[in-house]
Amino acid sequence: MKNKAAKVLAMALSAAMVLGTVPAFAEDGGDKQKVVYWAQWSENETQAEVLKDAIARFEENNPEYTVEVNWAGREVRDIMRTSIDSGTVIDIIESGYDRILGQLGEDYLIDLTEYVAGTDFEASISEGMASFAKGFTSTGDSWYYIPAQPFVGTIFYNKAIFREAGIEALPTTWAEFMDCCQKIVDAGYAPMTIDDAYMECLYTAYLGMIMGTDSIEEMMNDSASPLWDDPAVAQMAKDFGEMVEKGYFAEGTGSFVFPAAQNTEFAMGTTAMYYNGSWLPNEVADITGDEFEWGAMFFPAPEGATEDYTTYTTGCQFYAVPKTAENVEGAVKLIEEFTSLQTQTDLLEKCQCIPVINGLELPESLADCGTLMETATKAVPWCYASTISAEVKAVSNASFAKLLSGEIDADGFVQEIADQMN
Amino acid sequence: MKASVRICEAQKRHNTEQFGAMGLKSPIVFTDGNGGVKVKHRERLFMAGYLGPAVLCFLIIFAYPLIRTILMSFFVIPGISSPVSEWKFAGLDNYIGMFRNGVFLASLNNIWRIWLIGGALTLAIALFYAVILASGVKGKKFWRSAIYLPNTVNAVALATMWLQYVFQNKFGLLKTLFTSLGWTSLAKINWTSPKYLFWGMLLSYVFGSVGYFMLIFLAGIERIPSDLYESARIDGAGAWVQFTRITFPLIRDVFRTALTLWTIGAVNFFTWAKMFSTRISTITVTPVYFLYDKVFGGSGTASAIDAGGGAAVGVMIAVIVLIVHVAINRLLKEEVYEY
Amino acid sequence: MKKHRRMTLGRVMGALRYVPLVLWVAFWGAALGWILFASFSTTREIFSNNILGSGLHFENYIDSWKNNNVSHYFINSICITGASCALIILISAPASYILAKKTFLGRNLVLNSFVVGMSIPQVMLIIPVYCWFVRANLVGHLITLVILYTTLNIPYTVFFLTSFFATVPSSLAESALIDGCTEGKAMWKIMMPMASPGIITVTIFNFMNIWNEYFIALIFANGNDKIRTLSMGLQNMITSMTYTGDWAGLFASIMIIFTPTFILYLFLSEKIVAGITGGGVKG
Repeated sequence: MKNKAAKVLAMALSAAMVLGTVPAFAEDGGDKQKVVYWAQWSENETQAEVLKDAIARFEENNPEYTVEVNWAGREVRDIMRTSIDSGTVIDIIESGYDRILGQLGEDYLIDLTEYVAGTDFEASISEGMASFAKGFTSTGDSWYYIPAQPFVGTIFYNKAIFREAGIEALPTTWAEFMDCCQKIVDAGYAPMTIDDAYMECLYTAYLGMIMGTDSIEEMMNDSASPLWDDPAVAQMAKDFGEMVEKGYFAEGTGSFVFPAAQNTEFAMGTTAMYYNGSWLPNEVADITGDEFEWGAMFFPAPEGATEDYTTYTTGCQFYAVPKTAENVEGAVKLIEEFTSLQTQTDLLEKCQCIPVINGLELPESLADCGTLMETATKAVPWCYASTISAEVKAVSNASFAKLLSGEIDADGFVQEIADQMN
Repeated sequence: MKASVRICEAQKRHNTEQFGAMGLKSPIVFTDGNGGVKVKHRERLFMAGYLGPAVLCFLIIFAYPLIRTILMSFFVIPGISSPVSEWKFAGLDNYIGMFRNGVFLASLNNIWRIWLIGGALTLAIALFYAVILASGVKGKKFWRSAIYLPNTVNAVALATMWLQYVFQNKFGLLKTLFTSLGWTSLAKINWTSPKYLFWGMLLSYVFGSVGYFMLIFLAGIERIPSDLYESARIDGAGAWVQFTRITFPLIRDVFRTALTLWTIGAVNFFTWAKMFSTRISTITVTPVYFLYDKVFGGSGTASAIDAGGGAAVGVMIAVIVLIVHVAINRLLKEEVYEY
Repeated sequence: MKKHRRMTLGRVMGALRYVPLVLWVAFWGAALGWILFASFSTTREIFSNNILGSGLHFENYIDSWKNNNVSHYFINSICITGASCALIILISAPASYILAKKTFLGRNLVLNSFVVGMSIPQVMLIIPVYCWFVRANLVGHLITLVILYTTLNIPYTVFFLTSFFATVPSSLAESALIDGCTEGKAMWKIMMPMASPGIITVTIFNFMNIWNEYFIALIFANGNDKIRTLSMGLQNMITSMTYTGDWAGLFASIMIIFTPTFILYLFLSEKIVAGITGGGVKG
């Protein structure tokens, strides 16, 4: 009996001591300068593999530096602001451009313009990416945001199914899109599907073509916005409601929790179209195998569209250097390695990423995305809005999911939106 | 659900009773033999040294944050770690804004249904299993452990199991089962659709909670002397009569405890809501999820960290707990049966 | 005649009692069993409902273990849970001893404060607490979780142990005092061992809570891979495997997290069940 109490105590003391002496498994950096990189990848993703190689090269070429990586995963977006607020030392943070802009912005970041000047990075970065990243800064010509991985929002389609259905030209208008869906149904496939995580991409793509980016930005951040009463919303509901009625959405659409639709419907080859970003071929590579014929198209112009058919949505993951960084020079050098030809080639080959530098050819799965970017007349932010409020999206996505699953019709959708957006 | 909160409710009752009794018969006290309780200086130091750390922890982690949260709920606060000098007094604005917020209202609607429907199901199923286990089945220990097993599994793993397998729309357990039984209308239910997602979440939560309440009921039933049942049987009472006339009245107290524990768990409902919608959605949102999203997370990309509004939600949750506590104590007054 | 019918009815009822029990076990057996099999299949086989179609794929387990910091998550969870459980007792037991064995001014106030403390929802406390840890730059350290788990579980533990100490007779300790032993020594050497059944019960209880804790871990340990607990690690693995479409790996990770707890439960289920009921119901 005595022993038990003594054991408990001994356990307490030793555990407390262990925790006291090795807080969070601190690594011994020695005399080297540390570069702390918070990645938006988890360690088991292929991107992490490529970046690990890049880091190894960096450490070999720059023996004065050592890199400490936190493979934070996508969750990095939830915690980066509070982490920086609390003074956590982070030399490079990586997340989606919308998160970096919305949660951090210039107040939280270091202007890298001087550091970048004259580096290999500045020389090799593609013009399009440079103007995209600089376009978000207040001067329009500073480097706060470093492009890491660009992406295109598009309707991906299965070319084999399109061929079987006898579709020769890609639809450019909503009416042609409906014809195209009917042909796919006739061929025995489901035309289209979407996952819950990308719900907003569909209706903002439709509405954006009519109302433009400023309106979508306002609507998606303010539920009280009168724009929610715009007739375009009712028209959108009517058109998608009609698609549901005609069976143009795969059975279960509106119910798919990411990535159910992507994996079991689109990648398995039973559904012809799926709205997503250009990271998709990489995500489903294990399921599709090599034979899958990837196609990508512009979003068809609905009636009353003010934007051209050749408008596409795009975005980019950004690297940024927060104010709490202690080693800006090291960070910029590491970024240089990440955007080097070698790393970009690896990312392209192993993860099917669109490169940020010129002179690399896209893999076959993304060839159509490349064509889109080349032929496009206008690029707009992902979902036609640089930021989106969680609360507004919570309401609109739930109603849109009900519309797609057939639980409510177009009128019901308009009613729900009117009731809940106030 | 936080089990310690669930348990402490019962424990609290237990202890107040015990200390009430101790108040009558004075507890064992070390005295100096003069009759009165005269605590020496050294002993006072000893007591302070032993009691102090616990009290200090309590003051730091419970008392002070509680007061501060209440204060925060009346201010507009720009960032979560903003110093008090940056707070702006807002009166009741945070509360008014909360009740105008469609997502918060949806969370209230959800939590109410979770509490009522989920509670009725969980307690009924748990009681049912407890009665079976107490009726002298063979291998009682095995069945008891088996029924409690889901409660020991990590909620993240459990929720993933439900979402990715049981509710799966193509090869899921329910789909396969109902199809093979020929119950086509049930097989057609798509549990992750907006119409059923909430019910799917509730069902899996209920299944994960039954074991715990079963144990509580079982312990209550096993305290009832068996001769009561024997004499009832001699009088010709069947199983149902025995349950309604003996078992249920005699575990009323336990039932009240279970109800209180369920309430605390339901009000704090979070893990399952987060697992069933990684991004906040009106279908599954609960007040705690709403608060989490407002203050810590951002499912959105806009930088709307609203610590004051979050604090107001916290205060609301505490008020709801308080109201339900009082209601349960009023409605189910303690009645003592001598046996 | 009537008696005979009652007998058969009774026997039928007796057999029927097992139906719900078997159904329960069958449901969980089927669900967990399928996940076990799926974790040895390929992702394509899972989606085409043809699990184990090409034999056993152990590489799912090897890959999930190798590509994630699973062993790290286990070490974190063990350290955090072990240290917290021990510290809770170290702080609570002396306090409970004083509360159970001494009378002093304010004793009821202390006891009642702890009672109230147990009913306060954690969300009421977490915002200011988070603010402190942010300012102290402690977010991202294991010690943060230990501090929180310890302090948050103190009120309940003090309560439980106070009632337990009250039932432990003081006569042995008193005679030790007369023999010249200090009171502190008497408490640790004599009272603590006598209260060990209660300490074990409450520790099992605390252990179960902390091991599977989600809310606090999500707020304080989610973004930093070094301090992720098992809950967070599993969530991170699942999220990233949905991005890579690796369903087989996803089910393998669930099994990796589930199995050790399950084995522990196989051996300790009696103790755990007793701990839960001991804490939950009076008597």
